[in-house]
Amino acid sequence: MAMENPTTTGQVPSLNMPYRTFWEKTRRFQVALLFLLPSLILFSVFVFYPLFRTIYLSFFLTNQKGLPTVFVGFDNFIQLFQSADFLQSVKATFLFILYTVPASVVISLFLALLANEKLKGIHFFRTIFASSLGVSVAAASVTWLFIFNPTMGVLNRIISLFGIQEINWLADPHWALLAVSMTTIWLNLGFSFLIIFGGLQNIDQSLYESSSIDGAGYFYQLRRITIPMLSPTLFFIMTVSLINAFQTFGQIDLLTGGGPGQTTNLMVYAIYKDAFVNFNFGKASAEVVILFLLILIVTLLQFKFVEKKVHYQ
Amino acid sequence: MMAIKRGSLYVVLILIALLLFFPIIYAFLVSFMSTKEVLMGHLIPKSFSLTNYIDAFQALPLLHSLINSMLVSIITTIGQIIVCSLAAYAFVFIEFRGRQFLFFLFVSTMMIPWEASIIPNFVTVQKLGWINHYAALTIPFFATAFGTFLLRQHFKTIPKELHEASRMAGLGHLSFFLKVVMPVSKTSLVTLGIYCFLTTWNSYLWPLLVTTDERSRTAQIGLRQLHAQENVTQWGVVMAGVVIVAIPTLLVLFLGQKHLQKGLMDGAVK
Amino acid sequence: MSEVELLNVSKLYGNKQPYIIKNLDVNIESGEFFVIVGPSGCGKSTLLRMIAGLENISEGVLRIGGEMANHWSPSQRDISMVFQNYALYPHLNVRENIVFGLRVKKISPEEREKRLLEACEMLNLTAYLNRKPRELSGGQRQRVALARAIVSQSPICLMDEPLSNLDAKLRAHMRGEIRKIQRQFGTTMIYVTHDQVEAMTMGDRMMILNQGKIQQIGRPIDIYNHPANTFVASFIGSPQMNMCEAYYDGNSQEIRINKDLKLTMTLPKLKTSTYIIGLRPEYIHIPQPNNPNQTIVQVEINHVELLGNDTLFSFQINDQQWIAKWNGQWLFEPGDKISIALDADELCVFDKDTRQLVHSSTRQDHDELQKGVLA
Repeated sequence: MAMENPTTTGQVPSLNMPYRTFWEKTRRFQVALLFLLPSLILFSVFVFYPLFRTIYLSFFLTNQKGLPTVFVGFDNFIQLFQSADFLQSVKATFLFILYTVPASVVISLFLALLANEKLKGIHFFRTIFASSLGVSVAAASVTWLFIFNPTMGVLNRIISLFGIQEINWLADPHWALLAVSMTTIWLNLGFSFLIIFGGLQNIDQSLYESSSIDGAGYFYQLRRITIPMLSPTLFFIMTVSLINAFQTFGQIDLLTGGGPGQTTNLMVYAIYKDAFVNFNFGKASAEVVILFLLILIVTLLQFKFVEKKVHYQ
Repeated sequence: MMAIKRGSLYVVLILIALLLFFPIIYAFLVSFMSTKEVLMGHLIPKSFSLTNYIDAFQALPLLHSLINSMLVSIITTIGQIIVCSLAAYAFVFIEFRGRQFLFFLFVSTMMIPWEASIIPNFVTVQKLGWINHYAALTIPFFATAFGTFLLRQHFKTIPKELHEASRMAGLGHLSFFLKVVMPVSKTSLVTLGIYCFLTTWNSYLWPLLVTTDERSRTAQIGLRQLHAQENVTQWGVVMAGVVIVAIPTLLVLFLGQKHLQKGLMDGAVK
Repeated sequence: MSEVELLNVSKLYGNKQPYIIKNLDVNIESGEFFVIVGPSGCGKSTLLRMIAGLENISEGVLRIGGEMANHWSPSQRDISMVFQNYALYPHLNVRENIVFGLRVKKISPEEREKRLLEACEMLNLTAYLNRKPRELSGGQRQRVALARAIVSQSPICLMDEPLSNLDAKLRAHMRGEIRKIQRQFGTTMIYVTHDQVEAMTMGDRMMILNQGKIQQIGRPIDIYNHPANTFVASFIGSPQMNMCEAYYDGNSQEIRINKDLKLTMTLPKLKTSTYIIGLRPEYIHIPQPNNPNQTIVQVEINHVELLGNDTLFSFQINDQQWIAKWNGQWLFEPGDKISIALDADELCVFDKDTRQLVHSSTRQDHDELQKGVLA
């Protein structure tokens, strides 16, 4: 025994264990590391390394194999900012965000409020409202492609009933981005609805009961209870929709291919074409870096301005 | 008054449901139409014949791509559950130096969109020789910050006394993880599983890049090709393809909606 | 033999933060029911968890069965523990919950079954073996947690506020039940509670802890009669002990509470000074004629609580509210002026600065009376 007859006269036997080795002291860290290892390896290989590699590549010209050849400093970036095509794709991306994010959130909120009514068979409606989450980008895009079809599609048939002239939705520069946005909003609704509805269900019912006793009406409750209590959820879904909008690809690829006249050439689609059609990795990497910074800035701004107004319990 | 209010609510609900579900119904209806019917712009097919479905399967190795999608989704789901739950366990049940830092590192990956790393990742996968292999479609998605958080939130609700009681009984970390934490968290594992299955099944850009031969294509890419091949004429066949590709995920969604809704909320907001 | 021994044990988180537990010395005897009691945040649960091995011991030595156990893992210590929230595995049924630890220890199935049935019979759980914890009532869950401790047959059992989630009636019942089981197996029990009734009724000895320091260790009744300081005096006993400052004059041998209230008292060891005196509510008496020990004083009642068997009423003494507890039913109204009787012999006297006990009566130790009643 290391501690025979410990004295009780105030002399504290030191148990910081001189005989405990470094190996023993960090045992918990080692165990934790074992549990974290798979994630850490995968994150390193597929998230962190590529991020730095992308930044690195963005300063180089690259060859056909995507290997860096000549260091060009900020040339790739300068060229991008002078390129009308790139500026157009940034503009299209922001317009697309403007068209899709607010609309998705507002419509989903409306759907969630409807689905939160206590009615017979409401479960059926909830399932329908969430259904677009179960439809892939590809399936949805192909379906909407047909809906937008100028001659056979149902949309033009409907508007012609009202005497409006047929529109060539996806080929008309005025309409193409709106058409893509409509498809995207529809795709977003399922997920946004599910999240907002979940948030609604989490609000303590007694808040409504007590305010009803005070004589508050539906819209007063909506303004004073539902929206404030729901604000963390709305904030979350706004952030997610925003990031998703920045990353839109599938709709563009299937619906318009970036056209007509670059009007729907969103950033990720532009990156895809530069990187994997033209094999210009240097330029594409510079675009990725800008995209990444944009996402970062927009999310941080959102956190800064919106989160203050968010009510957390 | 109440009856009127309720009645009008139902009218609104039904109208909106029809509007929202219309694309799916429309795809379903068109998938049974002959080319002629499609050209005439009918809404309801004359008969529910399966010719379009048979054509869709014959036009492409659609069956093969469905199997690919199924396997890829299942492997990714299982892999993600294992990798994320291990990480979440460490964050909740092991107090170690550097936990804060590593946790921050995990958070930061949320800020990095997959697209931002897609170019080097493509090169990496190429170098590893994973092009056209399931490995390329599955392994990069085993570790996700979202999954780790979702599970961490649920693990945190497990009373720490449960861990202490098992420590006193002599259970190590791995057995506590396997015998207590995993069974207790069944519901959140299912939530993550459903979400992961849906997103993997529906993913588009990455499979487009890393599969080049027909036999390794996933269903989404199969759909893209079907549409490219049949573009002008065979809308019925294309829609049959849409229905086939959408059915598995719609089923998973309908069956797992309750789970998904509760679990996603917990992971996201709390 | 002392089963659990703590020598100069301290606990602090990090290096410079305040001590959670400071220089704690205590021996817990084999087969003893030892209660640790104190207000929330006093460090009692931390202490228990240190004994269990769930928290590190920052300084000092812990011995179990005479051997230094600081670095033994929880399972090496052969200790069972009952948690406040019972820590039942929600995915396992009652049977699996109870034998969970035995499975880990690789005890044979026959032995497992034997112990399981024995414990379940004792605790009336036999009918619930296949239920999940969520299908059980609070009391049943509590019994499952007890059964889990029993089947482990560990010589030492730790309990952390095991009854605090039960309603009053069940709690009273389980107090007796736990005590009975502990006696039957001769387990060394270390029992943490904030409830002084549990501390008083269950413990062979109890330790009162405040701010990580031992206030007093002893038999509950001794602590009640001779509280070591004002903290213990006010913590143990309900309603709590009445206290106020008073002046002791050594020459006249008088304790002056205020100008109307003086008690004659001989305290040879004490010098003339201001002290804190304490008097339990039940020692404020109904005046009896011809009792020379009594000092009678008039007070104005400002609050009354009729409990049925007892009556509590409060009145002002100097700047303090005092409470008296009289047997029976007294239909006083606030504002009534009544006479009460105090007995100088029943006072506790504490030093004003150190707040330590300097005098207490031995009258309350009823040894003599008890001898007369015992058959």
